[in-house]
Amino acid sequence: MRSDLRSLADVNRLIHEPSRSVILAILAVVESADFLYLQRETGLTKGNLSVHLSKLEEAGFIKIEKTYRGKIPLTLCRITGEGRKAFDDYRYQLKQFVENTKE
Amino acid sequence: MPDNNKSQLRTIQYFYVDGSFEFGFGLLCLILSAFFYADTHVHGWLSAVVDSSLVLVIIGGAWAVNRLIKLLKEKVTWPRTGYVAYNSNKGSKRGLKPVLALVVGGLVAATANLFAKAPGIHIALMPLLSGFIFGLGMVVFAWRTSILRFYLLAILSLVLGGVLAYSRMQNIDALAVYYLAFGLVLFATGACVLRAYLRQNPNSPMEGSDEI
Repeated sequence: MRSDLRSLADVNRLIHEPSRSVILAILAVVESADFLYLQRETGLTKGNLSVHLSKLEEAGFIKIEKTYRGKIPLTLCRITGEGRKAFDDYRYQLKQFVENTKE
Repeated sequence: MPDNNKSQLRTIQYFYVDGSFEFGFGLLCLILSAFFYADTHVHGWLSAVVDSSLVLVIIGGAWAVNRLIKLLKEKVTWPRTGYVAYNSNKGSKRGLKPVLALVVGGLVAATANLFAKAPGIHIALMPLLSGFIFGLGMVVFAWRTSILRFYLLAILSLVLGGVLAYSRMQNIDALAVYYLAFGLVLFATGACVLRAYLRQNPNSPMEGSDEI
C-alpha cells in the first residue's frame, strides 16, 4: 500500500465518522455544550446523537455530565484532554494526506 | 459531509446570535452616558460624589451587563437552541488582555495629545478617543467572529466620535452624547438581531428533551 494511503488508513476510525468529528470539532472550541445544541448543530436525531456521544464517552474522548437547570434536565458534554489530542492528531493526519496527494 | 470548520465558526458566533451582547454593551454605554451627563450638570457636594464614583459605575455597570446577558440567554436562547459555555482565559493569557488594553490606550492617548496640540486644531478629544477605542474593539470582535455587523458598528463608532469631536460641544458633554448615541445604536442592533433570532426559533423544544 502506498504510504499516503497507509497514513489515511491509520486515522482514528472512531473520529473519522462525520457526525462524531463534528461533535468533537464543536467541543474543541468551547468549555461545554448541551445535548440540545449538539443535536441542532449536527442535525442528528436524539437517538443517533445519544449513540455517538456514548461511543465518544466510552473512548474517553468526552465527558458527559447530567445535571439540572431549574427543573429541566441538562446533559452537558465536554471534551477531555485525551479527546483533544486525538482530534488534533486526526486533523493533522488528514491534512498530511491532502498535502501528500496534491498533484 | 458536515464541515468541521463551519461548525466551529458557528459555535463561536453562537454567543452573538441573540443580540444579548449588544443589549449588554448598550446598557453599559447608557450608564456611562448618564454618568458623564451627571458629571457636568450636578453641582455642590453631589459633584464630588459623582467624580469619585467612576470606578464604582464601571464595576457596577459590568456586573449589570453580565446579569442582563445571562438573564436573556437563560430565558430566551438556551431553552430554544441550547446551552454553550465558552472557555475563559486561564494563566498568562488572562493577564495579557489588560496589559494590551493599557498599551493600546496609552498609545492612542499619546497620539491624540500630540494631535490636539497641533496649532489651529480645536477638537473634543474624549469622544474621538472613545469612538476610536470602541471602533477598534468592534473590529477585533468582527475579525474573531466573522460577523459583519461588528464592522458596521466599528464604522459607526468612528464616525460618531469624529462628528462629535468637531461639534464645538464641551469635551464631557460630547462624551455623554457619544455614549448615549452609541448605546441606542447598540440597543437597536440588538433588537434587530433578537427579532431575527426569534423568527428563526419561535418555540423552545419540550422540557426534558435532552434526556439520553
